Amino acid sequence: MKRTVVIGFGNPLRGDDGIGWRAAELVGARLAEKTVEIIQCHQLTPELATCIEGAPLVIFLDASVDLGPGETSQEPVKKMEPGAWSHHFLPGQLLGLAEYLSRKAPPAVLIQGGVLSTCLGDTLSEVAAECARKMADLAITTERLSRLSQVITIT
Amino acid sequence: MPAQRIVIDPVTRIEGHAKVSVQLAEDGTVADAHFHVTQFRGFEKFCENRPFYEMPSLMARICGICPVSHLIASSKACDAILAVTVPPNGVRLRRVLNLAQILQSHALSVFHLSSPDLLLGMDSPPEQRNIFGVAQSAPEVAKDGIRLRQIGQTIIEILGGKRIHPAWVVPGGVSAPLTAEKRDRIAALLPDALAALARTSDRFRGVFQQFPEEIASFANFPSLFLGLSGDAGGLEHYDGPIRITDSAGQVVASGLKPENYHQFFGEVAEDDSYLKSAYYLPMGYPAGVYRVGPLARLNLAAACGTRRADQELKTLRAFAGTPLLSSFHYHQARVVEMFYAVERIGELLSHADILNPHVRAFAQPNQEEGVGVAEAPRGTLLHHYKIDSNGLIRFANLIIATGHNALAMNYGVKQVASHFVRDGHLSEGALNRVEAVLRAFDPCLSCSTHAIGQMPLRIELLDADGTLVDQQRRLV
Repeated sequence: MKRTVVIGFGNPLRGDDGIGWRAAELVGARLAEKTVEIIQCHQLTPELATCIEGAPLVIFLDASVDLGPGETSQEPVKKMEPGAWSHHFLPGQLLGLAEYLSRKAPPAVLIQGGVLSTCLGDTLSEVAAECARKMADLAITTERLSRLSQVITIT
Repeated sequence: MPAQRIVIDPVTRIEGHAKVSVQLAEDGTVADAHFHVTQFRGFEKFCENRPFYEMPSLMARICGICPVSHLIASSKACDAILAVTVPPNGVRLRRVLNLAQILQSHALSVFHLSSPDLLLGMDSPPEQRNIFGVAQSAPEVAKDGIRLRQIGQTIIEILGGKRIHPAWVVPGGVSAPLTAEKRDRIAALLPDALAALARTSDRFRGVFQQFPEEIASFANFPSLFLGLSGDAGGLEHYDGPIRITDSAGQVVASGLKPENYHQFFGEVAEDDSYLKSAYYLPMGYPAGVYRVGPLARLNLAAACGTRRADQELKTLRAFAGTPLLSSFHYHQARVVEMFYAVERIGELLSHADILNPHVRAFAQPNQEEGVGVAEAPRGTLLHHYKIDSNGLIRFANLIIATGHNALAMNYGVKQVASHFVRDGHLSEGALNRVEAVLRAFDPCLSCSTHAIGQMPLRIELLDADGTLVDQQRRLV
């Protein structure tokens, strides 16, 4: 069975912008490798479209400056047209490209964490570190529910 | 009709920021054309006073596409400053990394940047003429391109820790030996890469034959060809002396030592570009125009030295002749080199000594200057440093592949514009061909971003006095 793909993205050298990386790392520490594939990257690129091909679920983990520091949000990702730029994708654009390539985009959710500071630095603020734990909890719950629903569907 | 000037700004689907100007004569024919690089980086200047051992990591930041090339050329310049001999297995591992870089960069050029022109057509609607248009119309081709680039990047990540800006290559060798587990992970990727390349070869062979006009006009002219030369006439991407041949395939110079580059490379700074144009010094400027990169490397080599790559090369030469003179054939040369890169990586990983832990030589500076050279995906790359008694950089000079190709690119722009500009009019398809001749060279202008498909584009028509008489603007 294909694994859930967890993609934590952002710039870990810009302080709390690395919150997605940290959350992905925590998910990887708590879920078995046969269950999830963890990807940490600076930005979403076309190459990731082949990584998510056929995945039962894709979980994007990202920083947000719109949320209050420490707050989290979770929403389904809707497929979008890829557009004309290839250096920076939104999660929905990546799904759009995946559909072009394999005729089907996997289901996906975006979990975001509100950050305090994105100044230069390779450590998270205390608020962001705690927020990353909450994001990981959300991701793990989502992944387990997804697997459960697949089992129910199969049976 | 008054004399006019057409400006294409920016040039799209290349690595960096540039523009093209086409000067028209009063009869509407092309009088002159130039490729201008409009971005300024300044790396050679702001690295002054930094410790020499920081240079590989600093110089890798020049580019996000070919950081490995700068890492290797810079480390080789530092090897010369240390006056050490890199252990044989350190050289092998550097070669693997360099070939992985060539694979991922060539895949980017062939599939992401140029396949829209080749598969969808030079005159196809610009809003579809991008990799996503290819993904829609030929998903299996886009998938192979994305997969090939991914494999190259994954090998770089396995070896260097990061896909972009790895720091594993250091003065004296590499910082850590290869483990059996990493070797096996890399080896497991290679069959997939060869399968994707076989499909690419089959798919594109007929496609390349559909462009006789472009083959005839895309910088198709006699020039010199320059690159590193290997033993027994094979392809060489890492080391060895420099060889120069002419358009008849005759050797003009061989055994040139990179450290003596001042004796055979001339450099000229043009008033209208931040790119230095290099030329073969004994023939003078601009007569000493030469080309580097995959096309030149194949022209310099008798054969590649690996089975599948040699089959591809034989097919290419049967189609296009020897030497390859049209710069359109850079595309096919990249396909040949991708085969070579994958096969050669496999050979290197199979070497009995590939897990040998002796991969780095240590020393203090023993020389006050050093020159390092390697073949980057786009051609010969040279770094030259001088240090003071404290090991601080006092001078740095870089000659990059795109600088070597600058004069040839200017020639190509003029040739293609002369062929496709009619009565002072530049159609959208003709405009794309002016850009496409540059894409064939795959110039790397050290960009942080580039657009694809329907580009922000401005064309200005100026009369002989420089007065704007017409303009067209296309925005994303």
